[in-house]
Amino acid sequence: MKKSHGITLTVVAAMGMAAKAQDPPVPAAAVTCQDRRKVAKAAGTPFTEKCSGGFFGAHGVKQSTARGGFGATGGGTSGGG
Amino acid sequence: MRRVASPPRPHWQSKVESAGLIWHTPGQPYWNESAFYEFSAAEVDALEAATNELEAMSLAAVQHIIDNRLYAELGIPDFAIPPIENSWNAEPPSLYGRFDLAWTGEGAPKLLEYNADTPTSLLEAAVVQWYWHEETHRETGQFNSIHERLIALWKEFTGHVDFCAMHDAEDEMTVAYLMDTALQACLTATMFPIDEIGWDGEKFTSPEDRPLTTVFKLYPWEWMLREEFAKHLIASDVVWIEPAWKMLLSNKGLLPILWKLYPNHENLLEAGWTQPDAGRAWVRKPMLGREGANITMHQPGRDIETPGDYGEGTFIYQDLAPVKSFDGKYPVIGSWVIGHEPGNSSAGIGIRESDIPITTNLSQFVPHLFV
Repeated sequence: MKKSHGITLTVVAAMGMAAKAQDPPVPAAAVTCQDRRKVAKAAGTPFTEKCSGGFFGAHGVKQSTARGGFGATGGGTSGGG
Repeated sequence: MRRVASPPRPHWQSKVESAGLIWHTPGQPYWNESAFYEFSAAEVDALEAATNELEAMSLAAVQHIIDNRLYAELGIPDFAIPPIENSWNAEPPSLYGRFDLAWTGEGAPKLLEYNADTPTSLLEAAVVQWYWHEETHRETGQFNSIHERLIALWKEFTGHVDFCAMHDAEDEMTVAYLMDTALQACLTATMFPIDEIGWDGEKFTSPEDRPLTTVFKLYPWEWMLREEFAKHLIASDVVWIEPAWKMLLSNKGLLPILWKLYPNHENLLEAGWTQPDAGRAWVRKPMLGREGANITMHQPGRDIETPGDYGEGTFIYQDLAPVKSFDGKYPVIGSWVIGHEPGNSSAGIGIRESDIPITTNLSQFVPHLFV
């Protein structure tokens, strides 16, 4: 059960760097929109702010195809559990 | 099993961030290395055995649900049945799941629920706590082969996998990690938000209009089924990971079915659809609830309830697991399964602890080791 080798994560590292690049210096008390949504959800308080962005950013999506048919449930909250 | 106070590593924030855990302090600390849980090797063996046993029982329960068409009990609509049964019979790739176990270190671990569709806290369990262990307690062991098991499982597949998730830092990093493991298994992969999946009238497509073949989605099946593109699922030949049959396991309705199939099994808590009498200690859970939302924990003379968005709909009732506080904290063991090899799917654990005996999305992740 002990690993014999290290863990190298190229995609995760790139995402981490992208996240840092997106984060301007902010006061320690400031949190992201997603964080505020999680806290509000946990507290059972209304959350009306619309979060957007994230690492994915814009992809230059083609418009000739119907999109947005998945992803509407949950109000942008995590799909994980 | 014991909780041990331990000084955090200097600059632990940058260390966990470099391992991908950028959401370590979402307003309040999520990653907590000021303590760890210590197990004996025998206790790890007990957790591994319980996990393998529960996995076998869960797969048998899926077959039971399908054979007896118990879909209505689980609130599953008719149009979802073909994708469920087709995926069960075709056996497409199924990667992972996480049993949440209650355990005090005494007696048998008890199943609280099975997140078999969209489990998270994966990166923390597979990578972040491993780095912590390497740096702080390398002379001990850690019950954790999640990373290498994922890569080994991906090697059984070929082709291209598209990874999709919501615009959420934790979800995005979780699929980034899984994409990493797929790439290390020599698959090709891309990643984009789930709301950029397209439908061109005949097939699901990528943001660049490339036909999708295999999609890993960190997005619950019960959400997909209520959305606009659900009507295309039957016509589509996309292989979804996790497959549709996994929604039978992530549904809390699994718990009464398991109890019916395996009454008094040592790893199960009695569960049913009707409220037990007030003299007993029980927990009420939404059948499709998530992250500890809308849970009621009843003990004679005392109720604890969590808020959430799942207060409507069907609930199940489960006996309260033996509760023990470790330094005022209540841990839940997330026990990971990778693949479905009989008797050998258990791959490691991650622990989250709370100030109350209910795990929520604000519960802290605490690393572990064994001696």
